[in-house]
Amino acid sequence: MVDSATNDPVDVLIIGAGASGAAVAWSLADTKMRIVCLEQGDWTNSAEYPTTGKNWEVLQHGAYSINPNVRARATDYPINNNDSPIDVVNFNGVGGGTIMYAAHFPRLHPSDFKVRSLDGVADDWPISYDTLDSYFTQNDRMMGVSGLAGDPMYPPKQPPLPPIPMGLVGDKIASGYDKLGWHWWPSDSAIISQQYEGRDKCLNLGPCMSGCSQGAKSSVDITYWPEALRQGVELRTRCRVREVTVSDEGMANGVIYYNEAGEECFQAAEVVVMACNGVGTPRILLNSVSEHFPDGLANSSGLVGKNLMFHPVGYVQGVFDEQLDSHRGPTGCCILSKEFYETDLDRGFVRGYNMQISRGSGPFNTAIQGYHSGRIPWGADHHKAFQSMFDHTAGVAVLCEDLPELHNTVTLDPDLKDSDGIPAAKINYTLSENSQKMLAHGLARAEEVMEAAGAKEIVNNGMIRSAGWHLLGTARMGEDPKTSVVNHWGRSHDVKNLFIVDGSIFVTSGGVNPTSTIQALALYIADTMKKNLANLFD
Amino acid sequence: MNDSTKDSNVITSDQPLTSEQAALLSSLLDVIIPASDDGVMPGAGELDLVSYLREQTPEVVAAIRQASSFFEFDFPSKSATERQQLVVEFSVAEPEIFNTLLFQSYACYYQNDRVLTGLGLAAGPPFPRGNSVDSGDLTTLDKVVQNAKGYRRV
Repeated sequence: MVDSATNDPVDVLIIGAGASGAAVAWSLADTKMRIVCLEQGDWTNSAEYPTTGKNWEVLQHGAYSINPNVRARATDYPINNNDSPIDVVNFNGVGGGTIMYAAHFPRLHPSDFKVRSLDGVADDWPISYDTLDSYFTQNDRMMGVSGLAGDPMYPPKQPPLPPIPMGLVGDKIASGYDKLGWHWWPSDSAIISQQYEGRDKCLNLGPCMSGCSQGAKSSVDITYWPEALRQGVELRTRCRVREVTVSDEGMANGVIYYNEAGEECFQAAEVVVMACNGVGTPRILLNSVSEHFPDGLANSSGLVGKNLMFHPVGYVQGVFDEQLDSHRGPTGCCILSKEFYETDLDRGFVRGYNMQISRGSGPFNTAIQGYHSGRIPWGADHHKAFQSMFDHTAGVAVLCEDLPELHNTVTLDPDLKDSDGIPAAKINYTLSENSQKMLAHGLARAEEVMEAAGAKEIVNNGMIRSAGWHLLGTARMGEDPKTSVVNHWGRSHDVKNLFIVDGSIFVTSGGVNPTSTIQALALYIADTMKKNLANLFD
Repeated sequence: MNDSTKDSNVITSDQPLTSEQAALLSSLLDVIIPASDDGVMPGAGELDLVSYLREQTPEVVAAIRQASSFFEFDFPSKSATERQQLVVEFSVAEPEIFNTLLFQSYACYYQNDRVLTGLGLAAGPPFPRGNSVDSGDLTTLDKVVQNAKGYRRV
């Protein structure tokens, strides 16, 4: 085994350089502790992102797919989705999922933290919206978030930049919401609408989910990381952690990882911070088996890897007579609706969903998706059908709150392994009856919106399989060590120098994209660690 | 070997299809995406799919050759109706190869400059050119605020 360069323990070792790892690294940097982050992937180069080439759409089906099993880079690890109706999607590299996310950036609502008290289901979080409020604001400023103040569905907040343009798609769908008297609002987007902190504004290229060549999308490789590195944090790429090791006293004392050459290495550490999100974090913890922790690290509750929550996503597309310039502008960020976000039991289910309006595809994806849906044939009618669709579509994605269930799990696959021989993650997931009812309700309302907006054709695509972006709940927070993995500030109940700062600590999922809340949590936990440095392990 | 001595019916490293296979493939592609009636949009057979594949996805060339081998060399001389019917039969008999051919022909077609300009789009990659998008109409938001139920207090 290769020891780290100095063989000295670092003060803080962060595993994962994505949304939460970057935020916690930046926040802790001002302590001047020795902080090292290990990331299994590489830095990405925006000059190589797909939109710099003519084959930009095609690459989304291969090297820049959101699905790691399709992308299959050396830096990816396989995921067994065979027992799940939703595929996990992610990106492994500096920036993590923010490299390929749509950058839709809503916060969880105040009610999302008190689900048990309000609706009698799942559990309350041990913290509240107010706990995170100042960290949301700090994170918006660090990331560069565009939006419009005054949304009545939230407590007051002020995005640092004006909203990104709605375009003809936004105007068209907003007219449908207006006709129905339903709520809509310009989306909070982690995309800069004006020059900001040395970065140039969005060019409306379109495919944010294959990386932003302009650097206008706020991925953490260009927001938090440059700041953290300037302050002395060390980031090592191509370091894939296999397990967290423990001392005779049962404290975390370092990690074993594989470097790019596949050599087994050891890095000692005083504090270990997990930031690998809802699949990566339980994978490593479950693989960290020792005499002290025979069922995996920090797992005396048995809840590591349990309660996996996605946000089931349904999609309705409308086709319009009018030219909507659909392929121009950020695909996933336009306007949203919270009309059905809060619980109304008359709907037949508890909790609710967000409606996220999306723009259309470029020409290749319009054609190939149209072929697979049977709406753009090959042959003599191809051009006519293509022209009726291309730049004439808008979509409504229905993003449902998913409640925690013990049988939805991340475990270690007994057979499948990554290129370093580490067991792959195995997903077991079923859609609850509540989620099914919610999804059906949302899809029907999305059809209503399309009709009200004047769509000449409405296509209900049902639930989307490749939409497992949001990986939550697999190491939940709480005050009781029997029913939670970490406490109210992310510290493991079992291992006092082990912290978790990613989406796995969510108690419930809310019904919105979680990155804003994940990062606010990471900043809050880092701040709490700093306030408790003198007695961090008490 | 120079062009004058090159045997067009010999497959070489820089010529993955014979001339007969190439003619057949071109005709086959024109069935999948024919030229538009007004001539603005080219047929897929007018574009050089093989060169595109050799540059972008060389591993797919063999599948394209396999697709060509499904058809007789008199395919280009058949009527439009007959060609359409033969391609339908091919798509049913060899769905995997057909889907590969279709995916790659669409990929080649919809990034071609002539096709993009035919669609009224700028040629070339989106970056750094970018696109302009209207800011949108926010005037109805006052009514949204008036109507909204507001967030749920805790």
